[in-house]
Amino acid sequence: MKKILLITQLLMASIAVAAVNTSSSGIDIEDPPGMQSVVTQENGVTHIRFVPKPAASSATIPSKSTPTVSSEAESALPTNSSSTSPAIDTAVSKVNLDLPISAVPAFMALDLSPETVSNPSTPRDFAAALLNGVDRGGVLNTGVAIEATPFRWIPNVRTDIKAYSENYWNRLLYNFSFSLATAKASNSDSDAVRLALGFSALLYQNAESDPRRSTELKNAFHQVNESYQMSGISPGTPAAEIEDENPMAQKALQQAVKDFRNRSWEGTIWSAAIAPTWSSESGQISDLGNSGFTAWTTVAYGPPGKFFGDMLHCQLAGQLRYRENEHVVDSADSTHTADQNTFIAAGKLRLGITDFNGFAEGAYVKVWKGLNGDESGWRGAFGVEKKISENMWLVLSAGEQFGAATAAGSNELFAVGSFRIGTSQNAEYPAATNAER
Amino acid sequence: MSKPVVVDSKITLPDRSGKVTVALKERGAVHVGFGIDLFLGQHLIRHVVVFPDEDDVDKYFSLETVTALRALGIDCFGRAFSAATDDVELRLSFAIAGKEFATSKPATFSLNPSNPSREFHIRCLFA
Repeated sequence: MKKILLITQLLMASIAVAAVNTSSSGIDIEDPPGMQSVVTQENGVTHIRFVPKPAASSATIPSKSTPTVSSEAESALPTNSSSTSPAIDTAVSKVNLDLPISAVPAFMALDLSPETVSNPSTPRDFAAALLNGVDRGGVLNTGVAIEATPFRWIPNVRTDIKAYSENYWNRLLYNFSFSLATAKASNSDSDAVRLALGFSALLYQNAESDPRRSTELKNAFHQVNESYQMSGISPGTPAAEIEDENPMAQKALQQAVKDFRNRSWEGTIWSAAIAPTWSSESGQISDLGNSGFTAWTTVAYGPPGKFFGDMLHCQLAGQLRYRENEHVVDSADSTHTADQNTFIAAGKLRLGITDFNGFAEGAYVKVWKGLNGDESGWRGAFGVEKKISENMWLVLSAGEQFGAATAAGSNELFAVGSFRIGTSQNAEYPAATNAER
Repeated sequence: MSKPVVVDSKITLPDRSGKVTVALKERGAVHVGFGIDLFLGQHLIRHVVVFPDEDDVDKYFSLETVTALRALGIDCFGRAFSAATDDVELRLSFAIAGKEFATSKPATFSLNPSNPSREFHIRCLFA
């Protein structure tokens, strides 16, 4: 009976597709009966999850008035099972593997999805961006979001295509990224500011899935250059008299990129990131104190070719994630807090075509020093995701949570419907995610 | 329709004699197909590098002696391509006996998966 109820709730969530409208002012959500929406943002992608409403609780956060929730607020949200530990639920709710390889560590660490990101491409721009983070009184400015690939513009580091193609260390440095973000602490009345630094590295990528080393892309470029030749123009000729770029060449190269991205399921990619965080109660930079860190590593592998009658792509992804010193608040008692450490190991198998995927995932979660002390749990789930429009995916999943994660020790079935709205047009783990870097 | 990136520079030749060489230098790991033509006024003298010479960045090609090069001009023209997001800087380096004596102004632009290619002309007049 309980399973039927949950499946019904899942269907109601899917019906809510029509009730979700995006506009320039934000996202309006009409919750389906018996469900409530939880909106979170990660790395520019908005996730709208519909979870069953619990019994009446003062901890409910109205979705219409709060388009996004912080990790602290999210931890305060009631979850699908009233008997499940809040701390472990918070951790489990993040085991959806919706963490792209291109995720920006500093933004992730502060649960930010900044609309404006500074991408300095020279040392001078970088210094200016850093200086904007602090005022003359030494007070940290909030809302700073910087992402940079410093080794691309540091003098004396070769970054041409030849050096990139021939040398692993050159590729490692070229794809290394640094990020910095500041945010006001969740307590809006205080001057407290949080700061995170992020470091991200692409540890391995096979040549054919690397957009800069793919032989197919290189051959396509060669073919275009053979087909659409260019010629020199004497220095005295006015620039205005020079012909426009060849549109046929542009179109052919755009198609080559599109074909490459359609093969983005294939290949191997391994990345790692770490983001230490600090907080300052006064907002002064001199008062910054370490408040932990988050780190993760992700591997994705897609075998070449298609399966099941040459129809479906296949991809395997695995992730290890550790977060230290995460501040969580008990939804039932705001004075009950903890600074917990969380470890997550997760794996995912995905089968699908360009705009429709099926997936199965499993995850192990371990929490230390949480609201209920040390806990651990497992989760298994399966589901489907359908691209319903440009940059919008509908995700439906169901599964089971078991192990010590539940206070009663019983296994808990859950069903979740969600949307993913953002700039990514691909599944979360395509090897060619690097193409967007 | 977009215009090619066009950069014009004036290169002052050194007083010493010798054969001048030229290389295309690149910042940004993108594919570059290019050619280099040598001009006297509007008239093509010869092809120094035949388009599409691809990914041969940082390689020096022989031009003329300092004396013969005065009053001539060159155009390094081509196409840059990347399926990723890259900031590109291309410039010409001029050297005698392996020692660089001048560089052109850089051609700078960005490439991304939506706009993966760009045509360019880096033109230099010698004096």
